[in-house]
Amino acid sequence: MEITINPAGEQAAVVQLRGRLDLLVASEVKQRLAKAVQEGFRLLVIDMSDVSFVDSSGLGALIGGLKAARMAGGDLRLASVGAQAMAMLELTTLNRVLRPYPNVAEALQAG
Amino acid sequence: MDRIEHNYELSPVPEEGVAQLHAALVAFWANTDIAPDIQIRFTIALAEVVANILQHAVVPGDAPIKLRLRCTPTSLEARLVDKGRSWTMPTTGFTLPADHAERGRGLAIANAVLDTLQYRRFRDLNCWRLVLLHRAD
Repeated sequence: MEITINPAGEQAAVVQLRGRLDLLVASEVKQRLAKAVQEGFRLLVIDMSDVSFVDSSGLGALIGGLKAARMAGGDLRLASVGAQAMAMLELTTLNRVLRPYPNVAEALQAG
Repeated sequence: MDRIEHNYELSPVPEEGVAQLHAALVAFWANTDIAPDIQIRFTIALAEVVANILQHAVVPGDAPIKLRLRCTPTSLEARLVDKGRSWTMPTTGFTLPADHAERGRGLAIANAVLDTLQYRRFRDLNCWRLVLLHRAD
């Protein structure tokens, strides 16, 4: 999986993920998200448009990132979530805490 | 649609086994007319069970995991057999953990998706059977 983190303002960053977000990469993704929060990016927007598959370990990495962001007073939001990832969020009811937004711009602007 | 059945072997090395599973599913779905939303649900469940096997049952160097995929006019079925450590049903059953938990959702998701999720230990084999009914009528 490719992970690209681009600043989107002083305290926000867009995290572009490409490939499968699964047990093989979950640990690395969680660490990269936590590092971004440590560097001052309290709002992380995960661009899911190029994520082909998410499993429960991948969801766990996003939950880890969400907890890190919330502890810093920020948030983690998902953007452009595909059908398979949306099914995972709904099956686990995690769409209540990992809120999906239609696109990156709306996720950045949400209150 | 007639019955379609294919057999695959998945490496016990996680990087290889996961890639082989997804390649097997791409090839399998290409031979069926299963609706995309049903494919997604079955793939989610199967990937979670395979991940459980790769993380908790087998280790690199073990024999390959055997996978049989079957599609009939009314159901999708997967059978997985491995020679790894036996699995014990958690006392909590297949329940989802709290929202903040980062682990422990895999088999609960599979169980929620499927009509049947069975596990049994037969001699030195772990045997999983997954069934999803796909006809609405």
